[in-house]
Amino acid sequence: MAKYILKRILISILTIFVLVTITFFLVRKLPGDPFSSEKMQPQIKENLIAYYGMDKPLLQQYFTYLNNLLHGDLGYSLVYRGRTVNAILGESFAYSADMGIRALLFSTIVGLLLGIIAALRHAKAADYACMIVAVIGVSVPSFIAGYVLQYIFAIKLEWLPPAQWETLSSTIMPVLALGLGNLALVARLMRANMLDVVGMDYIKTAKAKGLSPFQVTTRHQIRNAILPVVTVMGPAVANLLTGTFVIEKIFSIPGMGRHYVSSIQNYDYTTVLGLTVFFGTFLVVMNLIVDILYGIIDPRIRVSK
Amino acid sequence: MKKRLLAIIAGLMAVCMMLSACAPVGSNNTEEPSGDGTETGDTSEKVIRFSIAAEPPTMDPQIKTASPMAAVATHVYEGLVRVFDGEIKPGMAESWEISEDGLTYTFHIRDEAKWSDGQKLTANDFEYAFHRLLDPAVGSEFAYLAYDIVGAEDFNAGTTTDWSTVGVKATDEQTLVITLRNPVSYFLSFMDFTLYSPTRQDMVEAAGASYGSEAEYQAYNGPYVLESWEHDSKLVLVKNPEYWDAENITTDRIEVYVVLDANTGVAMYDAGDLDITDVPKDLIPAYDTKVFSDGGEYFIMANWHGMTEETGKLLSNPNFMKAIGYGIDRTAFIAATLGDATQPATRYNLPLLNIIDNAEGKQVNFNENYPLEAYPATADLEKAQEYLDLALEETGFTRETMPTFVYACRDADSNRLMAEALQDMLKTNLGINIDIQQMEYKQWLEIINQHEYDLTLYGWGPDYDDPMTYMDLWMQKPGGNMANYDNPEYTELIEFAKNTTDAKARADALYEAEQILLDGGPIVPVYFKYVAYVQNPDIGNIDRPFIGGQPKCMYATFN
Repeated sequence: MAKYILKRILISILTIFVLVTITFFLVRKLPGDPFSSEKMQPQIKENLIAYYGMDKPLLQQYFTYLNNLLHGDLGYSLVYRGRTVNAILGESFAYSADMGIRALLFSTIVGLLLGIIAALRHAKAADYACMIVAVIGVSVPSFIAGYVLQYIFAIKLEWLPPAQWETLSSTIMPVLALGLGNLALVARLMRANMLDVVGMDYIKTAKAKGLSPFQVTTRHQIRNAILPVVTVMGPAVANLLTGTFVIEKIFSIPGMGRHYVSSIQNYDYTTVLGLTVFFGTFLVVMNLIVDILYGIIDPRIRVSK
Repeated sequence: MKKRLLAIIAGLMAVCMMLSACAPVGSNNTEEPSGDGTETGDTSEKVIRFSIAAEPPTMDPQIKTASPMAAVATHVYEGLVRVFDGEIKPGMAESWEISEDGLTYTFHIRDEAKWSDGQKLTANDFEYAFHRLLDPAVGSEFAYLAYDIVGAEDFNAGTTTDWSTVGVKATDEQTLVITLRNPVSYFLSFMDFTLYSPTRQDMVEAAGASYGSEAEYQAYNGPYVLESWEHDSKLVLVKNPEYWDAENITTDRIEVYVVLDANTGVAMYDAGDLDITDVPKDLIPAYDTKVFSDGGEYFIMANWHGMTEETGKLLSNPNFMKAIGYGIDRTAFIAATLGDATQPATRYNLPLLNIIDNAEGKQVNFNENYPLEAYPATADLEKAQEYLDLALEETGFTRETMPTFVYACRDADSNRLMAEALQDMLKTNLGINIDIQQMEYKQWLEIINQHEYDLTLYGWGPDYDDPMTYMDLWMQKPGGNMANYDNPEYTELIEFAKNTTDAKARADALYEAEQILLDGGPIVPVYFKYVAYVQNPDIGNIDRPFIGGQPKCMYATFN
């Protein structure tokens, strides 16, 4: 197990290194430059290029960047003068993670419940009701859900504040809108898995042993059906926690999502790279955790590796 | 078995908790409850809450001038003068003298001028600010706006490092002398610009490269102090007790919210969470809106040399450009694209623009005193055809052999819509074909700078209240201006206007230059941008100067 984890960690580090290298050179090859604007003057641009050390050879800049990266320094933003990328990512990730964790807990718990209920009441009214919720969750984009929720609960009913991330009540709508997609995914997956395992021999054995239906469901059916759900959790955690531009925009939440869009639009090289490193690392770590969890849940996987 | 499962779930949750440990819940919990949270404790506190559409890039006044930043900076900083409702009032300087030749300005800093931390504000703080603005190592994006000062351009280019060659001197603690290389009639009102705010050397040195990036790094000298700055979210301004004119500042507290989506801004206004916010075009009919101009002037810009010899031949032909000018229906264009707040542009200079054309130094409205209607608001098809025929005759093309023009279009959907509206008008009214090439903003800028386009829709906002802010764009310069416009007569008039001390002759020269520019030059004005907004009806006397358009809330009245 330890050897396996070590190997995975080494591969992860290599992946991130390749990612940084490719991104570093790709953004620099984009036509245009970070300092251009309608009002930019040649002399001013020259001063700025020197200020940010971009007058040095590209390779030298690359090694400087790598060296700083090893020290955990992502550099200064080219747009927000004086702010470090570390500070930008740190502050905005705090909001995104807060929102993402709430959305993750909500969507996973409710999604699992819906999936289990649907499977136990297979082809009955409750099943259809749960699946209607799931289909809506999958097919309605989060920004539509966001606007609809905002319109109904903030503008028409005036129950909740329309935007900002301040009080508990202000977090309800963004969390609902953000979690809806994952909820649907989990519910459908859980339902399908529950129905898959219900015909397995071990379920029959458990029933034959005289276990109560409740025990069969909780101990055998759910335990085995939950495995594929854990698989999709890794990417889901990464996606939900690292910011979603549309939801942040609709509810005016200072999360990370906006930086994905604005940094690339503004050619804010350091922020683009910082986000790439951050998101890449996050995704890799999440997948690693899922793999390890997998091994714990299912001994067969551990043995085969 | 059950225990294991529980352990797994607990483990997952622990990971989540760990990740959330850095969440800034502390800063959230200390806030007063949102909703109608304007009047906490002291019920007489006067609060104005407005939205800005983007995060201010910095609070360092010498670096940038972006409008979301100016909305805050105008409240927390003060220059030598303060402009409110178009009137120039004493600011940090209580009086000033201008020399006969219009080149030397002597400002007397008021005795009671203080920084927010109580330290005395002196002329040295201004001299230091100008030094920072022009120091190439600081990398100010707008240093060039001060190039009219003696020696400023050389100092900013690094050709000299001798600050004594630059015409900014604090002769004593109370006196600042600025010497210009050429007379600048609008110089006094320009000193209101936040770019020229004073700066504290000790604060800059203490904060280093981070100066301007957080609320606590700066000292403030305006009517307000930036109390807190939650990035991408909210800036809170409270009254500065050290401000010299604090007794006349009516608004106690200003909250500025960063709201990216105008629909959200309106929802917050509806819920009573905002007092002033912009209204997107679809919502305009549902609200009792006002409009302000952000000074944006938008025009079709042609590349005089064209991308090919063929297109260049037509685009540099005055009659061809006039055909386009008469062939587009500005009113219909606005109705189809931007909504009803925007106004058709029948000339180049913005209607709100002022000029000093008299010896008394009084500002008068430029467009009223120098009237011009270069093009009608709606299309004049007869004239358009006439000019097109002339152009074709002069260039040897026929309607069938006219080349297709490359139209460089920015990436937003709204830009696409405008490009298609123009494409349709040019095709139907004149038989001119354009090929719309859509690209990212930065790429588009690059294309314009490299002159790799035939036509584009371009916009320009003012830096100061004088036609020169729009007019000197089209002078000849090394590498060519954006339109490659190369007209010695035009350049000569602008040069003359930049150097004369005769205010009337200057205004006349600018007037003539505008007529030359619109008589078949590379510019076809399309619209003046006006933005619809809503404002709490209980609040009055908020100035929205067209330079940037952000609200000035310090002297607001409350019902």
